[in-house]
Amino acid sequence: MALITPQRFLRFAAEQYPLLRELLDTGAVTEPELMASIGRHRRPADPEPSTIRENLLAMGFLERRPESDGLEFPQPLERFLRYLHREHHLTSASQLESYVEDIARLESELNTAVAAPQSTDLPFVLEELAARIEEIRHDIAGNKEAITDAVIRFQANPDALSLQARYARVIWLWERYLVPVQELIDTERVMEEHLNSLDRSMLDAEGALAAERPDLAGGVRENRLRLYRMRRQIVDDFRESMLELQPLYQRAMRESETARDVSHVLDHVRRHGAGSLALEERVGAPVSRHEGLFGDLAAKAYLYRLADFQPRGRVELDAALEDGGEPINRVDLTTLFGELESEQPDDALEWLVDSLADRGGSVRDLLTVFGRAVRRLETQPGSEPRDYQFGDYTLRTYPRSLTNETMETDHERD
Amino acid sequence: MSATEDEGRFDLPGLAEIFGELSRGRHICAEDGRPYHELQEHEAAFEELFDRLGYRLQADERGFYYFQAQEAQSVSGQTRRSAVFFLILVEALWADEGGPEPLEDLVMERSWSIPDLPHLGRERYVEIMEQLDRTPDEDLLRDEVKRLVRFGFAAWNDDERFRFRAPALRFLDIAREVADGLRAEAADEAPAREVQA
Repeated sequence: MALITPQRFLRFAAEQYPLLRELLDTGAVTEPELMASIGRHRRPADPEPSTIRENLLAMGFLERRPESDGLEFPQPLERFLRYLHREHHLTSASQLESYVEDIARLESELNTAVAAPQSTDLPFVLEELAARIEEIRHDIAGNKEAITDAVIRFQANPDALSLQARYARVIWLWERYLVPVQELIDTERVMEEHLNSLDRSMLDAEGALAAERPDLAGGVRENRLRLYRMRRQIVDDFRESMLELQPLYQRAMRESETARDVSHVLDHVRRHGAGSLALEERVGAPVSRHEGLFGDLAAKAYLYRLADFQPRGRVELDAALEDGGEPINRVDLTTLFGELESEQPDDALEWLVDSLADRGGSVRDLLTVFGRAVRRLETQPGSEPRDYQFGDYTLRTYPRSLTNETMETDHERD
Repeated sequence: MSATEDEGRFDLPGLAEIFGELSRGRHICAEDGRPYHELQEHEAAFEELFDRLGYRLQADERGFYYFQAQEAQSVSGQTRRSAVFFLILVEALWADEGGPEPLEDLVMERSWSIPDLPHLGRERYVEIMEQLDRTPDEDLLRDEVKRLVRFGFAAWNDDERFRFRAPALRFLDIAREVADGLRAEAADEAPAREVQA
């Protein structure tokens, strides 16, 4: 097999880019899936599919998954390709904390090496320190980019995820990545203390080394500048991530709460019915009880204006009665209709006959309310007609019993 | 206020139509056109007049008007089913559908035909609907939609598709209110159970 040089590696990557892109998106593949992908992307001048497969494995583009026949990208290569595509991975707060612990250890080693003039460790400590600082800077920048990507994906929703799934990711990003980073950079927290301490140690080391070992003093200074850049960038990246994610997070929390409330109510209805929830009272849509004529309304409006009128003289109604006037008996038909509706009698007309006889109503009142009941309430007619006696009148009709369901007015019917 | 101004105070444009609609429980929103604009322009006068007639006019900042029945007034029992019908749709959309956010836009910017509805497709929803009525079928769902349309919570796009109108968002307010109440009840009951235990 020919030697695999970086140039050959990169040339193969360029030639097989569409295949690599697909494999990156697919994740792990089986052998048949891999051959199918190769077949889809193979151009006429390309080597045989089996050769392409061998090259993928030989150059380290793919490796076997543990305990499975599947193949996958090795993690460093996957990260490299995603970096090229600006698809950034998220670094957890615990990973960042481990970097900070490393920094504390390296600071101690730096102080030891500077204090011992014979020590040869200092260049290696500086090299490791630079690597750790850059790792933190890149990982937090990666987090910011990943959060920006997540916000863009949230809005574009290319995977057609449900709102629930999209908001869940926003909440997860916020709670898992942003809040811990906020704690890390909090000026009163441990990371800040470590970084301040490292800064002081490096300043001291630079001063101590300046005269005798200026090359190492320069190395310390370079690390100090790296540390400044990293700290500045962490704060900037954090602020940017906050600005990107905070509005979405707040919406996600609010909306998730609403969705939970909806499910809570539905759970209750499923288990106990809706009776105790008073949903209809909360909606409060009135049931029409009026005839709805414009003339009536205008007259009513005018009469209400009269309510403000203050009479100048006193009208003695009782005195007028004593002079031989007779009281006029008026039955409130709306109230009577309401009572009929709540009583739900088996025979509506019979109930009305009895009720109106007690109240001194007229046959006109009787027919008005009975007519309303037939039009507006769900009634079941009996099979045989019967006679009803009301004063001097004999009325003949089918008895009608009421059911519980209230119908809407004629106008409301579909 | 002069006598002339006072007399014209309740001479409100579109009064009969507006009163007729509102008093039947309908919600009036911007897409209703003239009635909505008349209400918006003369809101205080309408409110005062309706108040004197025994009706409470509610102006919702999301752009609609409705009558909230007062204690002595009868309310339509059918809106209970409308509320549950709407909430089922919201739950299904939230869990299953991609689309715009926030949730309110997701609900308001879609339309459905009766066979699209999730109410018959899941046991949970069938059970919920059964608690309110009989076992649901497409006819029942169509009746529910007609009712929503009648109260101004929804509108037909054509014969087969409907969409919600802004007033339907009241059902979400109600869900929040009810859920708060249920949580408070549960919190009250928890210490009592502890004492019993």
